[in-house]
Amino acid sequence: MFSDFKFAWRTLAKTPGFTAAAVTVLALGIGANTAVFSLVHAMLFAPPSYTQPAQIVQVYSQDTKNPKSYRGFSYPTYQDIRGKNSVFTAAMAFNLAMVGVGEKDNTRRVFATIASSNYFSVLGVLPAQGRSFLPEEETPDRNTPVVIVSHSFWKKHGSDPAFLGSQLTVNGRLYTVVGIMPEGFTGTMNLFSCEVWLPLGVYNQVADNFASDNRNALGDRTGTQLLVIGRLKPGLTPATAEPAMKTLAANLEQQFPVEQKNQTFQLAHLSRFGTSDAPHADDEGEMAMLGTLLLGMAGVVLLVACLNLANMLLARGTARRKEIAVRLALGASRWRILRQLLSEGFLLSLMGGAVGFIAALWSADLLVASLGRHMPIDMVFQGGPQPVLFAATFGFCVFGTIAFGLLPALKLSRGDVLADLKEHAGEDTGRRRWRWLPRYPLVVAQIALSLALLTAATLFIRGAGKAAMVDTGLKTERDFILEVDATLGGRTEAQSRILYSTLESRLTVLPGVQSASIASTVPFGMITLDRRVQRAGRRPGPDEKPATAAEGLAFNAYYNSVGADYFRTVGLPLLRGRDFTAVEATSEKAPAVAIIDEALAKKLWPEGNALGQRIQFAKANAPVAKGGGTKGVSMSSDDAGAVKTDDTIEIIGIAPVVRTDLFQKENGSAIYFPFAQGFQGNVFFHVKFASLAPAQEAAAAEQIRRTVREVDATLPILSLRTFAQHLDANVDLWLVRAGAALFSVFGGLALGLAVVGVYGVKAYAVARRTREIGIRMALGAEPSAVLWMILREAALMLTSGIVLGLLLALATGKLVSGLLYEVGALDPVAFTVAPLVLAAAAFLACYLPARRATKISPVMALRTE
Amino acid sequence: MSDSLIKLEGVTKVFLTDEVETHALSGIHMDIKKGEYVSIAGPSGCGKSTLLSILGLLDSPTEGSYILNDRPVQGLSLPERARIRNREIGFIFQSFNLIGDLTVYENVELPLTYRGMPAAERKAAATEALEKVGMGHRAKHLPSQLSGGQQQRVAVARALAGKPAVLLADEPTGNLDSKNGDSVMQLLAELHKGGATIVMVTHDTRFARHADRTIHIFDGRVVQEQVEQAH
Repeated sequence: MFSDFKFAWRTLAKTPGFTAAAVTVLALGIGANTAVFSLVHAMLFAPPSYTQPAQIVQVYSQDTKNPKSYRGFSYPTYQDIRGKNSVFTAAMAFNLAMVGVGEKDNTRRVFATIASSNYFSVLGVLPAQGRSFLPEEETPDRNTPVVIVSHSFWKKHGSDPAFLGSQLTVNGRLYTVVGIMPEGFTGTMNLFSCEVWLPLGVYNQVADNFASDNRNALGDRTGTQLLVIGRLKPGLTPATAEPAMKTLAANLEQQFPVEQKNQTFQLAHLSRFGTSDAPHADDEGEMAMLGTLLLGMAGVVLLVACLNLANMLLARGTARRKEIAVRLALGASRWRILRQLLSEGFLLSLMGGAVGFIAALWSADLLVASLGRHMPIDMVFQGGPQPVLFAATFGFCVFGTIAFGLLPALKLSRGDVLADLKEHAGEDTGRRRWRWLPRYPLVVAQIALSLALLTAATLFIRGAGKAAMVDTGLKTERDFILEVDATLGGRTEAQSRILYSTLESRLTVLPGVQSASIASTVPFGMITLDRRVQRAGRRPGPDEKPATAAEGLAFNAYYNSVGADYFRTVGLPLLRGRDFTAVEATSEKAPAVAIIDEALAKKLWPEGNALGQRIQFAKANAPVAKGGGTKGVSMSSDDAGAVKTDDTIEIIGIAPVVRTDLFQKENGSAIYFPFAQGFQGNVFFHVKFASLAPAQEAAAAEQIRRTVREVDATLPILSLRTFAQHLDANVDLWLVRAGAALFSVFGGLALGLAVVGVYGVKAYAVARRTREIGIRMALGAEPSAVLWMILREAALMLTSGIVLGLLLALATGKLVSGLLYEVGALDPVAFTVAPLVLAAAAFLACYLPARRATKISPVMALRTE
Repeated sequence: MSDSLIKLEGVTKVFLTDEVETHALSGIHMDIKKGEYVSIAGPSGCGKSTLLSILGLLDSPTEGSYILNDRPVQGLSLPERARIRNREIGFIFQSFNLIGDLTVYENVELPLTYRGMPAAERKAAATEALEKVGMGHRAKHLPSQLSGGQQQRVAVARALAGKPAVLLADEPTGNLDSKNGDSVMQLLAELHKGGATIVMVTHDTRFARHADRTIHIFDGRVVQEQVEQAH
């Protein structure tokens, strides 16, 4: 075997051009697969960062009357579970929050986990430096200002050895860093991680106020703030442990018949990506589908690369027929020849795999870094060489060798010794059995597969193009968006209201500013809010099934609390009615009024005018019509701002429909409240300038920044950018673009490989048929006849590939249709452009060798004997 | 209109290889009449094949003039040369040069397709040529299914099919045994009797004697012309 590799090495070294081309082709194919595998492995298969994951389960509190309804746990309930369960060695509680962390002069918003003291010990991972939280630090309202940070957070701060024990500003308050987690620890999720962990004792200080669940104090048994995770005792599974937990739930319901009414407990392993109070099997299904799709695309690229190489080997092998014939004549067995040829293939694969492996590590890191820049949460991707990646790359090499090497090896080792020793090397000595079929079926397959990928890429590019041109419905060309959160600096709601009001006034009178307005959310922002509304005066019970708004059916609506000048500032003139007055926008005591959009108006009063009518917030368990709203945070209707569920609200205006996020299934259904009646800590100020040329943007931003500092030097600016930049940074848009970029890379690779394959085959065909072309020219074939002959054969090959490819593209389009953004699976543009691009590139690849054929000197050609 | 078919005057062919000049032909004068059977003889490397290539318009002379059928042809473009080759010249090669994946019939028909001849005419011409060389019964065979002698007969049929002004044969018996060689020479003699003009390159004096006239070439020059006795 060693001698086979030695000879293989010598053979490949003798033809450095072929070897370099083959290694490049394989490096592209194997590299793409290794890169995708490393991502898919991290997403779907890599073990979690906590120990013995089979023992870790989440406890879900399910409503027995409404089994689709789940909720979190109060701290007292968690204590009961921890103390009274018989199935866990330990149980911990936590929840997520967004906090403002002071870094130099700025405040950065980061995800934090607010955790019980045993969080780390239950997960089986202790801080690499420092300590975990102490039991007393989790006591509600104990407020011990301690923080544990992630490894990447520590790294972002220069991996300073003195960081442990230093002070960190969290929401305007100094916290002592008591621990640094080990590298790669991502808490309860995979791939995504919080950057800081805080003890439950500070919960009431740092929990966000946009979700209603956080409004109860932690110690209140009616709260539902916490998620509970337990480590099962050895030998138990979620299924075997669940009955005991149901018994515990029943006991708790008996003990606390109001707080625990209709609540039972379920156990399930943790979701890899989400943190939720309800089991989310769908997330993993979607990720699995995405992973499969990515692997499938990369697999097709590898297949195209292998087909390409198989062709190259067949071409090269034809020239080696005499050599093989001599070996067979000297007594070599067929297996011996096969082994020799496969050794050459495997050596090529290993070389291609080595280059591809390096390229894969680099490209995977690049992709994750690109995604990381758009994600609000830290991505922890364990890049670099890992045994599993080595194994995968080796697997791709073996697959590659078999895919591209076996067929040529079998064909060559079956040679006719006598004929091969006598005939002109490489020439046809007989008629092909199926002459009407294209001469090179492997190239046809390559073209077909490449076209399928290229069409998919074009579909995604079309989607990205449409996403980039998305019409929000707003006129925000001259708008800046300033995002601040006064509560992160430790201010009370009352202090924050005054601060925001002052800031809005100051921004409005800035030189060059036309208008400015506060808003609790911004379309295409990271967070959107939903509320359920219904006509005033009718509250159907949860068991009723109202079919119409008149019967009390509630509707989901995008919710935004805004300033008096909001609609003018965002360029959304009302269709009917009036804007909020300054008093309504700033006074909590003003009568409850709202502006709804046209879509919601038609849903609520399909038969008439909604203006002047009254609505109310629906209760949490009210029957709600399908659709509407956003994918953002849903606020239950027992709370949120000055307007209560029992209040009725007058509709004073009807606004045009706007788009609030990229993947919104239907535009519209929005309700706007005066900011005073819907206070949020995290707010946005829209600032519209009279003119805003690109060259003026920096000065305008500085003007706004200076104004914020003048109003309150300690107010953290979370972001300040133009509306166009805000849209550009949208995570959904990134996903659409990344999909397009990924498919473009794969489509481009496949196109490149197919073109190289077509060129190689035609160039080889011309070289192989030099003597034949010479004969034809000697017999009077004009150069144009030779050109036509080569191109006619190429046209048959291309047409067959494209027809087959279009069929594959149809199937691929259907497969990826769910991931496309506003583009049909059979988009005529994609199905026209992709074949044209492929045909043009492939035709050019054919034309060059065909033209070379016309330059063949018949005298020289006839001497090639 | 003269009875001269091929007229070479002062034809020289110089090859440049790595800045080394090789004079393959030097000042060749030659006049071949219509219906004549001329043999060009000489040792290997003397320039006979180069001369045949120039006669067949596969190559161009470096100097001198070449008049074929009263028309100067040394300065023609590639497509014009191809057209003349197709209509005026029939080639017979030493190694037959049949195309392996075309049948005998398709090989013979091939030059006629380049002429744009209608299919029916092509069929008639190809069949007639094959019958003339006694290969009509092998029309559907592939070259690899024929013996060397049979393949050369097919090559002759292909050269004949377009009724060219001249048949150029380059060592037509070089790859054949003596029996098949004699048979091919007999075939050429019969064609000559039928009026064909034949120019044959050979180094075998036995076969050269079949011609009316033998031109001896040495070091790229005509050193002797010998009229063969009537046979």
